Amino acid sequence: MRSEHEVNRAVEQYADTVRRLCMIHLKNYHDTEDIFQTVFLKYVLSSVVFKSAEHEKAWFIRVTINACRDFLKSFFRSRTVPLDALPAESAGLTEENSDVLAAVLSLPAKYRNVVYLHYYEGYSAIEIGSILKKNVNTVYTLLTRARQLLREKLGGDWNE
Amino acid sequence: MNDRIAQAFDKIHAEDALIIHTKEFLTVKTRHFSRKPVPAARKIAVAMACFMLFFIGGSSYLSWFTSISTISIDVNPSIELDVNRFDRVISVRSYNEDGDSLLAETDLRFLDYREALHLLLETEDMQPYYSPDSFIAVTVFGSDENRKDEMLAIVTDCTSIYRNVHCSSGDSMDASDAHASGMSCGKYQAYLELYSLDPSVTTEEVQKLTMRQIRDRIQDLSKGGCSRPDSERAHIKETEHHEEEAHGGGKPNSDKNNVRDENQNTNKNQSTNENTDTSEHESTNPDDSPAKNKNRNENEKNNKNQNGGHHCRGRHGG
Repeated sequence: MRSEHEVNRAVEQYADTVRRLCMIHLKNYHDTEDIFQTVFLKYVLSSVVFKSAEHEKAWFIRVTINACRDFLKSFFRSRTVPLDALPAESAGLTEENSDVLAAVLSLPAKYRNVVYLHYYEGYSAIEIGSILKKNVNTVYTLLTRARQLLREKLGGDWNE
Repeated sequence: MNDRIAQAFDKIHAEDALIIHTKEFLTVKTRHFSRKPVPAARKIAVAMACFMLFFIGGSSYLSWFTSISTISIDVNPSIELDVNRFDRVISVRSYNEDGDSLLAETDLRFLDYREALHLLLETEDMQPYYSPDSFIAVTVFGSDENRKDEMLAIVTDCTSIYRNVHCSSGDSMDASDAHASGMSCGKYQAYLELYSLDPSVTTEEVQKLTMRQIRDRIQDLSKGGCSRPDSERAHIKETEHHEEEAHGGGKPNSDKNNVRDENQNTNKNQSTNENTDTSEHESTNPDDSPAKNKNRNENEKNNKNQNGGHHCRGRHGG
């Protein structure tokens, strides 16, 4: 089990990443809190030795996406309706930020991950393929389609 | 596009409350980060213990619910008790209405077979069968010869205080044939004995007879000097078996006509005697005359001698 110091460092370092991934998959603060805690508990109990900070970050991304998927697939979740369907983190965002986030969140789940990982985290298609365990060509296809959809949603001036 | 998406996501931060709650949650869950990982050896030990528990539990369950021996009690009620290796009665079967009514009174399951036998013989419904005219057959079946002999000795001892109880052991190979014919093993054994003397007898006919009536018929037929030696009886059984195989199985009684035809010529004289004896028996009132009873007892003695030393009678038997 990891030490308290190690865990506090990881929470400070990866809290925002985990929070953003939770936001693009979950639409409810309580669900986000559950997954957030689950991911860090897994980190505490995990005996994985990370080769580098990049390796550790990729582990957090992978574990968070899997936890969100498992949660969305769960029996309980599939039979309940969230109380607050709108994201609670809209405070502090400009109108443009809100429009962009709304457009990203309106994409199908498979596009949301690649958009976030590529446009925010700056991963290449090869790195995304390795994190999401997908073929590189599939990642390219997903990125292209996601770009087209965002262009449609955000207007014609939306260019690379 | 990169910048606009990056700017939008950059505004998203984990709330302070979320971080504080998570740290509290982790502190509680890990008991202040003091929970040590479970050593691999302990995990293996736990897995082994679970496996052993499962294995022992499974084998105990199987051995508990596996019948090793069967005790057949036949008077007019026809009952079978299946006994496991722990001497407990695991199932009780009845083969006629009298048996059903007898079992309705008592619950014998999971009792020691000695206790079950005692309870059964003590029931009110059994009391009329202790009259001198009755014949209570207790037959022990099982594949393990030693255990069968041991059980027979115990059963004989347990039932020695009751009148008219005749204990014997039977061939477990007959059990499946008996059940296929709708009879208990004990009654089927008596049927085979009668069949060796009178091949015209059918299982349907025997099902309706009491053990006393079957015994009387055997005695009457034996008295006529038509008793077949054991070797011939074995030959008939073997012929029956081949007949069954040739006809793709089925109840033993259904294919006996051929055997009957084969033996009809040799038994012509016997059949005449049998018919006379049977009709005489069927018209007999249960309250037989003392002379007839005496004659019956003599025949019974002869029959016992013919059947070898398996049969044993209760010490206080009538």
